[in-house]
Amino acid sequence: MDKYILGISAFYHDSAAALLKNNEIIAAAQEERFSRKKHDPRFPFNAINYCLSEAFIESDEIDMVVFYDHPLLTFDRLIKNFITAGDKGYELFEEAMKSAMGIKWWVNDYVKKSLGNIGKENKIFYCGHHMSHAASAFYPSPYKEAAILTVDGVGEWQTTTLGYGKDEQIQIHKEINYPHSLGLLYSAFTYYCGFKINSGEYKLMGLAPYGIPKYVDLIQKELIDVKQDGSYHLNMNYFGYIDSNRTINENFEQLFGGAARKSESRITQKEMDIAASIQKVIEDAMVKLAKHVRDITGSENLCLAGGVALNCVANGKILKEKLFKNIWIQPASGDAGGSLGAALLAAHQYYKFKNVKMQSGIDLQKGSYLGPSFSENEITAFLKRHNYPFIKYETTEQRNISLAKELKDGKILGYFDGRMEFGPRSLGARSILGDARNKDMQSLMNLKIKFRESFRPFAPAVLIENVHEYFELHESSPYMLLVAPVIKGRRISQQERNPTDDMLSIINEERSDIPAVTHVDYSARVQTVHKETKPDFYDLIKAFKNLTGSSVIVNTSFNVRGEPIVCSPQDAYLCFMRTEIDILVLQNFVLYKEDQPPLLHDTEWKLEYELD
Amino acid sequence: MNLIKMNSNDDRIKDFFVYHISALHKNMKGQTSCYLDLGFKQDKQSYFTSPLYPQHMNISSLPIESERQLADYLNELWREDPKLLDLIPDLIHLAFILKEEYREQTAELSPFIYAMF
Repeated sequence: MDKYILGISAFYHDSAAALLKNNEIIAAAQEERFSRKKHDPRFPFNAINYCLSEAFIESDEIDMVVFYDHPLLTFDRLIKNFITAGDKGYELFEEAMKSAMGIKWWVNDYVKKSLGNIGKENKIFYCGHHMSHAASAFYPSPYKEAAILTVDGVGEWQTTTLGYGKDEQIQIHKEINYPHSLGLLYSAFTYYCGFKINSGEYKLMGLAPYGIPKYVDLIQKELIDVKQDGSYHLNMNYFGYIDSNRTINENFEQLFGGAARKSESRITQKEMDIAASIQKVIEDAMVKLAKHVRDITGSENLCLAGGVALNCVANGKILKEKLFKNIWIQPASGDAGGSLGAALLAAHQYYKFKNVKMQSGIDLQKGSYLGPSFSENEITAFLKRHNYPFIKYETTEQRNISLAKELKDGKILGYFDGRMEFGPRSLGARSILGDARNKDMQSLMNLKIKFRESFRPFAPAVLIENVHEYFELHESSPYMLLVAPVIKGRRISQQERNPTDDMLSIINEERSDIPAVTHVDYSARVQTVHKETKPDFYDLIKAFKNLTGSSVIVNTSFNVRGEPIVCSPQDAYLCFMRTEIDILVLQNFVLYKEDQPPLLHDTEWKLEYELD
Repeated sequence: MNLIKMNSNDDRIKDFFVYHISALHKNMKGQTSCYLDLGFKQDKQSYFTSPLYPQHMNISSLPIESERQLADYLNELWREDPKLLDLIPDLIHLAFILKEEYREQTAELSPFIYAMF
């Protein structure tokens, strides 16, 4: 008898649902994609409905519902935190109590409201936050046994865990607990540099290569003590989150010579140097943690998850150290992926399904294309209902030949094909694409398409068989979670830089023959594209290669700043029309901007999205 | 403490804080034991600890739909910490009041609170 297991993550940042049939992942999606509210923390009613529809089942066919976190253990932390904080913490306490006892404890009620029942097991199940991260990393990985490292802001108490997975079992061996947290440390610097916590961490990482890591010693002396085994403590005299809703306090600001940068104000060399410094501290700590988990488990395989595992630069350092033969990182490493981990844990530990691996060595994440897709009939109906002019190609091959020419001519494509990605990265199902050889592409895409900061780098999507011809990377990186340098032969040497140089002039320097995806330090956040998991996207890049000789294109998420990645044809069309994307590709339907009627009454759309 | 007589939920939370949390904080002041392990320890080789609640890491149910179930659960969770056991009756009462008021309002609390607690 088949078992349907629904995993849910909610009430933190990025709610999500995931559905398994026995031990197979059927569907997974973040609530934000449906609600159109970025990092939506609310209960994922829409994502759950989607998962059921993908499996063609009714809610009463769900066997088990598993929540990815243990609300009463988080509450245990809350109470003990505020007893420690005393009267200074009252304001924070009031809000935290409303959140915990008003909302987070009552998962049962939300599930009943969503499904009309709580599954055939007749009770909701829970697991530890970091266990759900560990499960999300180990079970879908290609490995039968692996060391597991999870690092995030905070779960119930844990912020870092070291564990080991073998067959169906996962053991957590060691942990670091709140308030000591690499995730919260990085968030503190994100805030100090003027970016938004829980979404600006990526910007800080992107800013780091512009700076000089001159504050590393200061950070290591005053803020964090990292032992040889990677364990660490923070000096809470500099942080505010125990008794206020600020991650940092005035001591922190004094230490770095002034108040936090105001959001949207000019970025100075100081922010760049601070970003470089904290990035280096995090990388060093992550490498030490990885070494230690290897030493205590003896495994040659590493599985990574938790929000800090989205720091692909740190992941690249672990890779470079050659500590492990193989590394696999859960693409939905943040809290959204906890829904998947919780469901997988139930499948293997409660229902005892075997943790079967593919002979081919391919993982079980299905390329992370686990979200909704839209049929040809649905897209036709959408386009005809609105009278949007389009060209329909009979075959994907014909379409790709045409699109390759457009890319070569400098056109920017909004590319929508197949099932939506699960996780924060666009991997060729909901992507904006451009020619990586074009030196103007980075600033054009940042300023006129994404409406975001000009320093932010773009990622290359490259055919797996050609990756070594462009990057110092000999592994696959299908989820865009590893950073590797562009090979030396493709680099263009830079002039000596003056610390007072304007940032824009640095950004616009041509650094390689694929300048749009070469960051200031020659690094690139690589996505290897595989025929097995994404044939349409692979074939498009192949067509581009046949035309130009280049196997690399720019791949960035199909959204504007502050907007969740598009989910439906309607979302895609709106984003296409609101930006300077030239061509919208809805599977084999291709729409040209100049053919489209203007969007009426849509002048205020930027107000819909809070800047991240 | 009688939470029922109070006017608003904010007052109830405040009184709970003053009566229980603040009082426990004052009682603990100056003691070496603390709920949060703060500070650098230069003499230590490692800051790692064994899992704090290993029994709750794996799949388990959480029967807290009634006040009685919730009381049983918290009593078990805090059984080695008598100071916290005194919180339970008022805590449960407050929880069921807040449940009615806030469960439909998930978008209105600050993202910071969501992320941290």
